[in-house]
Amino acid sequence: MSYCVNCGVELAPSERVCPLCGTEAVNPRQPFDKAAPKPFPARLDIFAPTDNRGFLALVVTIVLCLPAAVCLACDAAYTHGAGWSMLVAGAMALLWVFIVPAMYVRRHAVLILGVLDTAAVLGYLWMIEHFAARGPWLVQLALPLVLLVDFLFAADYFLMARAVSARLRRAALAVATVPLFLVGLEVCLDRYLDGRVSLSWSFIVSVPCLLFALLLVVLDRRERFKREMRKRLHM
Amino acid sequence: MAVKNERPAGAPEWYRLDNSALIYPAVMRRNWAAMFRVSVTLTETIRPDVLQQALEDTVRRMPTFRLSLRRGLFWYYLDLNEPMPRVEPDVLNPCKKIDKGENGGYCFRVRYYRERIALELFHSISDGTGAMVFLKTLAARYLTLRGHPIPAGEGVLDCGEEPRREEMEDSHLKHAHFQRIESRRESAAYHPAMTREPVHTLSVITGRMPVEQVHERAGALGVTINEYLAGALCYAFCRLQKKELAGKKQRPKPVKISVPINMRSFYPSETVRNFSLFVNPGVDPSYGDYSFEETVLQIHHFMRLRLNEKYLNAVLSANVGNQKNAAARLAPLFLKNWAMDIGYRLYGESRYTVSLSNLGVMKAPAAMAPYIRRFDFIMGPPRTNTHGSTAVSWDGVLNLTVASVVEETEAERLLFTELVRRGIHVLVESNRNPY
Repeated sequence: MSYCVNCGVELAPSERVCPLCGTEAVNPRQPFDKAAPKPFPARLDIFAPTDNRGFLALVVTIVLCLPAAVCLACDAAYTHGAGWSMLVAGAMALLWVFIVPAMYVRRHAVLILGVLDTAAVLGYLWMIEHFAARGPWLVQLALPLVLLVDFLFAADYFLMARAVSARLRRAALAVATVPLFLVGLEVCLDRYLDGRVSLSWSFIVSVPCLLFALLLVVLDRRERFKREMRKRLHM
Repeated sequence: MAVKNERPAGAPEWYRLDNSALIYPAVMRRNWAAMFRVSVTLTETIRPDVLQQALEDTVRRMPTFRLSLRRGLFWYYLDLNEPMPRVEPDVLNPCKKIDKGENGGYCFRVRYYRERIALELFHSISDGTGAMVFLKTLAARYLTLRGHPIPAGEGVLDCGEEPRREEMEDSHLKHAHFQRIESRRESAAYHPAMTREPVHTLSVITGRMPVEQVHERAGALGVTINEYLAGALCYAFCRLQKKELAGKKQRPKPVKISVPINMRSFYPSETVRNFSLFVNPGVDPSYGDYSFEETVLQIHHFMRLRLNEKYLNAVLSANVGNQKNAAARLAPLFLKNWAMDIGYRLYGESRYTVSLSNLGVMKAPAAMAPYIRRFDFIMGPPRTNTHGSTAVSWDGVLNLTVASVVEETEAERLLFTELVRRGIHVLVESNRNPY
C-alpha cells in the first residue's frame, strides 16, 4: 500500500499519482503496477455533435414567410392584384437567400454564395423596376454597380485567401479597394446622369484611402509597434 | 435487436411526473440533465448476456423504470416504452446526459465493467432509494440467473410477482396536508471560482473509510454520520473560500450543503419513484471563522430543528401547492419551463455550495451479501455548481464520493485531509489518472 506524503491518504493500487494533489506515489517496496485494475475503463462517452441547421432554417423560413403572406393577402384583398406586396415578398426572399444558404455553405464555397447573393440582389432590383419604378436605371446604374461590388469582393476574398495573410495587410487591401469602388461609382453615375465621364470627387476621396492603406503596409513591417498595439488593444 | 415487451397487469400506460420530478426536464439543457449513478460490485466478472436477461426481467417487474420522457401540451409525462433497454460497457465519465433516442428512449442506462453493474438514471424517474431498489433487484436477478438463488426482501423485489400499486404512487400528493406552506426563500451561497472542464467530463474521487471510525468520531461530537460528513464538507468549503478571499476586502458568503431527506422515513411509503426533499444546512463565515467542531454542531442543530414531519410537510405542501395551482396547470409547457427555469436559478443550485446525498448503510438478503463486494453512489454533474458528493456504506466501509466538473481538486483535498487529520483512515481512488 502507498500513501500520499502530502495528503496522508492511502492510494488505491490504480493511482500512480495522488488524485488530490498530484504528488507521485514513490514506494520502492511496492512500485506502481500498470496492470492494476482501474476503477473505470478508458472509454470516454462524448456528446454526439448536434446539427440544428435544419431546425434553424425552418424557423427562419417561417418567420420570413409570415409577413410576406400577410402582405400578399392584404394586397390581394384591397387592390385585387399583386403590387407593393410583391416588393415585401421579394425582400423576404432576398433575406432568405442571404441567411439560409449561408448556414450550409462551407468556407471554401464562399464564392458560390457570393454569386447566389448577387443573383438574388439583381432579381430583387428587377422586381423594383418591374413593380414600382420603371426606367433605364436598372441596366445603366444598378447592374454595373452590383457587378462591380461583387467583383471587388471576389477579388479581395481571393487575394486574402491565397496571398495576403497578415491582418494589417488584409486591412490595407480592404482600404485600397475603396478607391476602386469610388471610381467605378463615379463612372456609372456620370454615364447615367450626363452620358459622359469626368472623374473628380472620387479622386479626392481615394487619395486619403490610398495613403491610409500605405500606412497600414508600413506599420505591418514594424514588429515592435505591432507588439505594443497587441498589448494595449487586446480584448 | 429490440424486443417487444408487453405491459404488466395493473401498470398504467403512462404516468404523470411526480412532484419532485417536475423540475428536472424543465431545467434540462442540451448537454446537461440531472443524472446520478448507483453501482454494485459483485465477486465475479459480469457476463453481459446474463445481465441483459436480468435487466429485461427487472424492467418487467418495475414498470416505473420502463418509461421514456415525452412532452405534452401542459406537462411532461412518462410514456410506456415498448422495446427493451440494452446493457452497455462502462465508460470513464459516468452520468453524461442520455442523448435523445439513446438506449431506446429510456431515462436510464445499465453499464457493466469487470465485476461492477452500474445504473445511471435521470432524476425524473426515481431518487437514490428507488434507484437502489432497482439495482439490488437487478443484481439479485443476475445472481439468480447465474445459479445463486436470491430471495426477495431487504430492498430486493421478486421478479416473479406483479408490480404493486404502492410502488408506483406519487407519495408527494398523498401525504401533503397543506396545514402550513413553508417559503423556500434563502440567501445565496458561496460557489468556488474554479476552471470548468469540457462539458462531458466528470471527475470522480472516492474516499473509502471504515464506518466504525467515522461513527466513533461523529459519536464523540454527539452527531450522526451524515451530519459529521456534511460538517466536514462544509468546513472544507469554508477553508476554500477563505483561501480564495485571502487579501481581498470581500465579505464571505454562507457555505451551505444541500442534504436530501428521504421522506419514506417520515411516511409509510413504498414508492420506487421520487420521494425526497432537500434542506440546506451550513455556516455563514461572515460572522467569523468556525472551527471544525463548531461547523459540525451548526449542521447538527440545523438538521435537528428541521427534520421533523411538520416542518417537512410544510415544504412538501409548498411544492405540491405550486403544482396544483390553477394558473400553473393551465399554462402551456413552454411557459412552465421558462418559469421553472427562473425558479431553479433563484432557489436551486445558487442556494447551496455543494450537495451531500447519503444512502446510508446498504442492506441485502443474507443469501446475496456474500456475492457483494461494494456499493457506490455518484452524483452527476451539477448545472451551475461545481461539486456534488455522495455517501454509501456496505460491509463496514463508507464510500464518500466527490464528483466535480472542475480541473482543481482543492476542495476534495481539504475534505479528505481533514478526515485523515481526525484519525480516519482514507483510501482514495479516482477516474482522474490517465491510462
